[in-house]
Amino acid sequence: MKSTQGKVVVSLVLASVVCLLAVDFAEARRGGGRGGGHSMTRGGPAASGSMHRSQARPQRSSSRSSMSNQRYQGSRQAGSRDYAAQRPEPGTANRDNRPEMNQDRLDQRQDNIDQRRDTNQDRYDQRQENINERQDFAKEVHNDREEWYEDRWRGHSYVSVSVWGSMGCSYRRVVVGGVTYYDCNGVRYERVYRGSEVVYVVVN
Amino acid sequence: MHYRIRILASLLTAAFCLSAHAQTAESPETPEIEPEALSVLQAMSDFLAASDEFYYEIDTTYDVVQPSGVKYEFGVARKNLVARPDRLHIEAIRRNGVAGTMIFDGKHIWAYSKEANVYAQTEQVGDLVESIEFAVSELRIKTPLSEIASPDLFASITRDLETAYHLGENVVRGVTSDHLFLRNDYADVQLWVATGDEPLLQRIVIDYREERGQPQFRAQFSNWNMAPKNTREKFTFVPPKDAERIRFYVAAPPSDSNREDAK
Repeated sequence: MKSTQGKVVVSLVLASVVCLLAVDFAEARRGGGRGGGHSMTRGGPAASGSMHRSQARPQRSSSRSSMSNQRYQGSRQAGSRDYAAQRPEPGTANRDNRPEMNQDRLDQRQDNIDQRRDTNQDRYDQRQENINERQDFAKEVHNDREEWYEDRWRGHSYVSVSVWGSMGCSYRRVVVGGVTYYDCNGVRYERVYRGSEVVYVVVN
Repeated sequence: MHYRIRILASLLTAAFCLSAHAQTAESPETPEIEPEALSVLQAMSDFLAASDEFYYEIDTTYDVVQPSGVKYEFGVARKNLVARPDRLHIEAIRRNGVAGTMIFDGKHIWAYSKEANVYAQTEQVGDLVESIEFAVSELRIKTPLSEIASPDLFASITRDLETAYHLGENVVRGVTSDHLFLRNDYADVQLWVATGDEPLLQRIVIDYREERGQPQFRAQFSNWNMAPKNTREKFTFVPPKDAERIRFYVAAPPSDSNREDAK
């Protein structure tokens, strides 16, 4: 009996580990796992405080996005007009409830309801499809752009001003072409504005 | 007996997997745009558009998702002076004490650090909207809530809008405000806009639901001044004599080949 219970416990633990790994894997597929290189990440999308993705998109994206928006709005407006045309006249519902209502009218009414329901569903599906298409494309463009920038930015090592101060190297200032560089332990740095922060970026 | 225990174990495992999956799934919202919400946004936009110059302060905090998944909060306090069509003055101080000044004087964009005694300068092209876009995308400078400087804030906020709810009235730091919920294709936004004759933004919370870890940005507004005085000197930057001029670290825009590679 004890042996069976032990096997059950082991099975549960193994199953839990498998589930957790599956969830982590799903997270990673959704875009996680980026970062590294520093002990603490200080930036990210929330630091931008923007309500929208960056608009710095390649030309192809803005033109397509615009077209997509127009198509989306157009279909939505067209759908509204269709819906209005099919809507029953005010008061018909009350009249339809009279006892003398015949079977034909009841069938017709049911047909109208079914038709309207189908139309609504079609319109909803179409709108959802448009939204998904637009979101997928925007995400793709955004990710392309961000990855490109991240590669460029991460391509250069840098240290913050506070870290620079703690390095304690007796640096040598070198001016080349009007630009001041700092040589420290055989590494050449340039002091630059990296975003909103002053840092020392490695240039050699 | 063994059979029952095995069934129980299977059920427990299934329940655990389902609950884990549910935690990672997104909860659906019913898209709907309420006219009351839009009218509040329109009133706020119209009120801001009526003034070419205005001043406000924001205390911002934001989550940064670490590679481990843990979220850390950082914060920056900012004083913003806007003068349309093309001037902007921002003084920012982070919680770690690092301060910086950013000035758009209509011809140049300046960044100045008193602590490091350095400044950088680059050409400013276009109005505030274009200049801010350039600063954010190319110089990678953070200018949170820069939409407020737009002459058409309503259009900016409602771009790609999918949902807008008016959630009722709340009191935010003593100011009765309309509480709105907005959803676009990227983020969920909550706004608190003062009721009455001066419909000014009091608070904003942005949830980046599409981003890993769903980080949040929060900003508390204060000291709105729709008629600031003696602003000219604020938009004029004269570098201190001993300050060193440094460069913006700019990532060049992608070439056509880069774009093709990115496809």
